[in-house]
Amino acid sequence: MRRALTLLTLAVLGLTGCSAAGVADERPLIVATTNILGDVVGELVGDRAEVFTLMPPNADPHSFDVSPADAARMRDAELIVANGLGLEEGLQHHVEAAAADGVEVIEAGDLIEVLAYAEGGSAGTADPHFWTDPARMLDVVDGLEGPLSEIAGTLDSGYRAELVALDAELEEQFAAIPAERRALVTNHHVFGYLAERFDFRVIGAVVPSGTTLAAPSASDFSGLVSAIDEAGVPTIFADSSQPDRLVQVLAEEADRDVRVVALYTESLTEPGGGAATYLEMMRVNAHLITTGLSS
Amino acid sequence: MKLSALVPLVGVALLTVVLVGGCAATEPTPAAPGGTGDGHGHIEGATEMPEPQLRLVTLDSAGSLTAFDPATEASVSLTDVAGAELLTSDGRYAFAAADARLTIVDTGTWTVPHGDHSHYYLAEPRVVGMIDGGAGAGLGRAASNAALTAVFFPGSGETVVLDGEALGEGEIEELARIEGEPHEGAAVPLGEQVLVSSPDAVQVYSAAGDALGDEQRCEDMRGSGITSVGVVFGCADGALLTVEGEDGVEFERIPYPAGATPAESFANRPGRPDLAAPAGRSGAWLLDTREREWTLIRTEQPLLRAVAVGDSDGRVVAIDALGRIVVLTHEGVQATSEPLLAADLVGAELPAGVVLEVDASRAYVNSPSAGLVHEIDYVDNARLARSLDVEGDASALVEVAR
Repeated sequence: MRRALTLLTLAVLGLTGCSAAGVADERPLIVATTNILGDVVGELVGDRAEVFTLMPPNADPHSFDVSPADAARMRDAELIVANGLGLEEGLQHHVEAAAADGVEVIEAGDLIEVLAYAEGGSAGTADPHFWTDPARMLDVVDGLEGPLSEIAGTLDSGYRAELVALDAELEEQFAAIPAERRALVTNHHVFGYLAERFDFRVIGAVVPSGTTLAAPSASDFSGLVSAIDEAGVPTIFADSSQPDRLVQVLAEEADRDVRVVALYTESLTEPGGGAATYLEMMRVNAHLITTGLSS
Repeated sequence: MKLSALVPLVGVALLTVVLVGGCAATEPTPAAPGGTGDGHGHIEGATEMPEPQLRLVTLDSAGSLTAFDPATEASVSLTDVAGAELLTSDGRYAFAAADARLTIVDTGTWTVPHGDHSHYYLAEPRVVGMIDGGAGAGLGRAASNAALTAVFFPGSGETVVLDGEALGEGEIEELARIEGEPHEGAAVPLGEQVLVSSPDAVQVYSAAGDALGDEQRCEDMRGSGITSVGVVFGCADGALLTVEGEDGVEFERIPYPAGATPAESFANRPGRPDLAAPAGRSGAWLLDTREREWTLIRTEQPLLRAVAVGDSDGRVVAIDALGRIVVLTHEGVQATSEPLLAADLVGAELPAGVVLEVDASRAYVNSPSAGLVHEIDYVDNARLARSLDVEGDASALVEVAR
């Protein structure tokens, strides 16, 4: 009973992501750059290490930067887990500085088979958004197990099983989408790995801006309309400032009836925000994609 | 979903408010300069948005500066600048020039290109401050990159170099004042340097104001522009293109075809490789800085303004001497509007405050005579999409956050 209480206390402290002032956390410190990696590493080590995530919820991994205090904390870590492949641009110099101080750094990009961007201005360069494929996340977990268990002792084996289950779940859901409809018309640039793993086509599209939507003509939509026609799908997956207006204008100006659905892409949300954990993010996206393309 | 990102400034050592990770328990440590960052230029409290937060910033003849959102048609008053006659912008800040005094306003909206995608930011607009050029300095104009802003005063020829990061924090931090000769010149940052014109040359300076290397000849320097390739100065015999190379600033010359009338001012959609300029009475110059190539596009009517779209068709949006919007490509005139600006013509010219701005899907031009900003769909037969009733008489215009 007493042991259980201690564990509970530690677990509560662990949830806050940092120790309260004056209460020294005796546990080893692991720093994760992105909140997706922070979530996964936290699940693996449980309360046996302190996992400190640098990237806040709802942020952009390409461009967030950290406070000097957090930068100093990175140098005190036993291990830094980073995404790599150029994702955390604003943070790269801090990671390098910590590595130069002797902190062990593991980049997820080194643990997976890397894909190149298929199209756009970065075509041919490494795509850092590996997490859209749960099998790649499993590869990362496999690569992290050794170093993490050296720091935190025995890892929680249950989480790996959950990732395996997630992968199987997505495979089953996506298999139910007719092959010819397995197409993502999107202005996101993050679904290359998901597409490769589950046999989707990604058709990049420029979504007309709010200014264009104010007084549009057919020429404003020609690119998007040809993407919709090429894909033959009833739903496009795009961030738009005015999704309802976009739907209306596509119907009026281009005679295309589609739904516009936003997916979670590069960041977890706050708890309750819809994608608070990696597992939740993947399940919600899979549900949105499956229902969007099936009906 | 990228929403409500509270992002602290890149590389600011003294930003001790801990916003990241929701973790305020550790005492902020004031030291450990965070390096130079990558110049993304976030400010505390800026929100990342899913698309460019375009604003049409207009100055009226009473000196009121207003930001108009073309997506919602809502207006926000920015400030009043007594005696302001000229309005310029670097895509984020609006620079309102009265004689010898340049007021800098952070419009609170800007776009950061990032390889295959861009980031769009929105924050509260605010007046940053004023640069005093001294008596006779004239109407200052400014240009920026991620690191520096350079203000040039034509009446004195003086350049004032400002720290870009400090501007983002709402502070004016002068890094240097570089003396020069009075002329209609320009000062433009490139990397950590500043390129400054004299009446017949261009000189590279460090941000601290030290001359670097030899000056480059540029007879009758007129007009300048920034493209995705580098910085262009217009010279009597061609364009002087300056690019950042491995060994610092490198110069290339793109000569005019024989017998050409030189360009006097350049304009483009930001972030693209092309520049355009009226070519005397002959039509438009299109300068492709990627191919290092001039193209003369002939028109029947002389052009008063010409702006390069920088798309694959080599489009140029222009205003002709009849006050019509004209869309050109390499092939010639593609579309012509009604004479929307006929009432603004003074003789065969337009007032300096009439500005044509081009973004990814629309062009905008202010008509002070009507107090309107016209919105043109330049890929759809120069269609007049809307005429926007902005605050005041719209005597000058800039578009930000493209």
